[in-house]
Amino acid sequence: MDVDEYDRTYAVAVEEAETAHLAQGLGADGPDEELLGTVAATSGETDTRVAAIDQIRFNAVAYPAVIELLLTVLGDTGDDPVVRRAALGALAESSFRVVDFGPHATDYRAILRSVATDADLTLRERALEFLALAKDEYAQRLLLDGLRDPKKALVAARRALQMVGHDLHAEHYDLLRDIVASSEHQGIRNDALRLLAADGDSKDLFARIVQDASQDTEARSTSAIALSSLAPEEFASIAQDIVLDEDDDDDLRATCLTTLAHGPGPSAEPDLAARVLDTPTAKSAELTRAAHQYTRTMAPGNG
Amino acid sequence: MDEIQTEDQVAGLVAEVRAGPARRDALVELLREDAPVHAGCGTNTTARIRAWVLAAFADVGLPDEALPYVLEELESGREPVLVAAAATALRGRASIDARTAGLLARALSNMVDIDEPVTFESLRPSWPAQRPTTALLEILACLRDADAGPAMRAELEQFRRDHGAQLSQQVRERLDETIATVSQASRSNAASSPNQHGEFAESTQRVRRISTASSPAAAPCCGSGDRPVQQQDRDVHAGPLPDGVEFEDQDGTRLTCADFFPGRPTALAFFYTRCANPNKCSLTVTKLAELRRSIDEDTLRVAAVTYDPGFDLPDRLRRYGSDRGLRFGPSTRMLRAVAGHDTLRDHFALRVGYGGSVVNRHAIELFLLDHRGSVASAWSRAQWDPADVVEQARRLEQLVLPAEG
Repeated sequence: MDVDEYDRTYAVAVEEAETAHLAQGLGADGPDEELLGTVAATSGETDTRVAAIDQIRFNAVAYPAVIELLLTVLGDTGDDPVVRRAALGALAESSFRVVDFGPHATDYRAILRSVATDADLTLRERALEFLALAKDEYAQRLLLDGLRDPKKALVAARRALQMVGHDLHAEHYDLLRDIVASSEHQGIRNDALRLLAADGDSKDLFARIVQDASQDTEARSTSAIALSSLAPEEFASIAQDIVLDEDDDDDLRATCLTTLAHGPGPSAEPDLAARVLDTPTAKSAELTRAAHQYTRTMAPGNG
Repeated sequence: MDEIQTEDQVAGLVAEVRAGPARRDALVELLREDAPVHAGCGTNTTARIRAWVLAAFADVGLPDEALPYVLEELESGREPVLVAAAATALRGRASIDARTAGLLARALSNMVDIDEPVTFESLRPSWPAQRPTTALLEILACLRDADAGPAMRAELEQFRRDHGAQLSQQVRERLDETIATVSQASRSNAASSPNQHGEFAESTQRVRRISTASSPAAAPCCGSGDRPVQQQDRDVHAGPLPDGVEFEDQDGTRLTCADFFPGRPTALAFFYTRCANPNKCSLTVTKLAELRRSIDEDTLRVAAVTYDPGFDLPDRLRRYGSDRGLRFGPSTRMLRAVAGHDTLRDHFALRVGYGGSVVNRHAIELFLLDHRGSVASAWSRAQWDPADVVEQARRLEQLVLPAEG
């Protein structure tokens, strides 16, 4: 399918969907009052209310009464969490239409902050995620408090790390270095390393990890890429040694070769890949592929 | 105020000053980017602390020394809590002049797409808040009380036409109330202020400068009596840049201060590529490019030095400058200090704070160095105008040439 055909098909699909939804919950004259009543009825059946939200959510942002109702449902801590989750989903969808959603944005943000400490884990995790994406100070404070003191944690440590990582200006680098130093959970440790990749103070940490063959390979690869960004010359020197070390991990050697070829560092040795390929030891397909790619990249005229 | 190093101490001092407003000047020190309490904080945390301090001025009175921080937020701020706090702080002023009202109008435009709920109930507020507000609501409340004149009414009406549909009901109501109030005020003041329109229109464009008192070239900067309030809030070291500072430019070329600065004046701005405020570093470098196009290399060098030398490697510097129209050459460079960054920071008394390796807060800073590399003029916090810098550079050249000729 070419682009024009795709555009035509897409336009038709959107029109059909609009027509279908208009025929359901949001008629040409605005929202169906009965559906709004169903959504608002806190004593109603969960499934019925969620189904009603599904019917009014399409183009809900065009109708302030619908958004206000969804905000009320989301903010009502005594209401059914399943219905509130549906309301949150509909609101999140509407919020992507930034200009149209503008009149409701501050109310939505305030309610999300309230929901961030909700009793329902799913609700608070999703609220925190939306807030963290917006680099919200309150959400960052809650997440960092939880990472520093597990008794205050609102979500799992790994999720909290991912969320805090949305903002490189958050004060989390010391905490991340502590996690790298002390965590026994390799996944969390690797997440922390990834988030440290923009931290100039972590250069030495990355250099240490990438050269330490006893470390987890993913941790070493993450460290290699981070080091190439923070200290390209230091990385180039370390990476060349790793690439030529037949005893080292092939995946890491491949990562180093690729980063040397495409990273921001100084020009690497043109024949480095040839030296890898010339060795008699068995090589993984990934390393062989990276070596060929390196050779092509370094060929005259490709620099 | 170096003894204030924790949030609890900030909260304690603010409470003390609220009880005894005579000590309000003690709060001003906490607004400095390099105040110890901000060291190690993330951007959001330092903004929250500063906002708490600024908002206190509403109750204890806003001293002149704090005004540049308020005006800076209104003109260039993009953090709703700080802009809201700046507008709130203005309640501590006996009156709001037309220039300040102009900056409030600019803040409206800065905030319209990014407004969010804030509260000044406590230093570490929880949500739901009892008394939430927003930057737009606070700005409009200030404008409602300002004696701003017909130009403000026209500006607010234009704002309503441009943005009314995207404002919350509460903000729309406050806007309408403000327009109505300004209309009444302007009718009552029209006879007594015939030139208010021109004065107000100018105020949104005006640039503040500070100058080091000892420099002969500084005199024209400071001589204009109608310049907006701007404290000389820094102690820039006299004399050329000290030894021990080594730079690397956007091409990886290493050079010392002696290699680059002496011989002719230099416009030296500070920035960093990870700055998230488009009104600060990105605009600064864009204006440097305009400055470069406005004056030849033999008259003025142009340099941008990063606050973030560990991250802003040559490749990043080159791309950041190129993307903003800066044409590099021997007298036009972007630099990072590979040695002596702290010396540089101390020499210029830079208004920058760090949360670990990342900048958490900085002012807009441009220095005009003379042919010896000494600071002749400085523009701080407020937006600067390239034409103004060109004028100063030419004046500096005229002062130097006869002496050397």
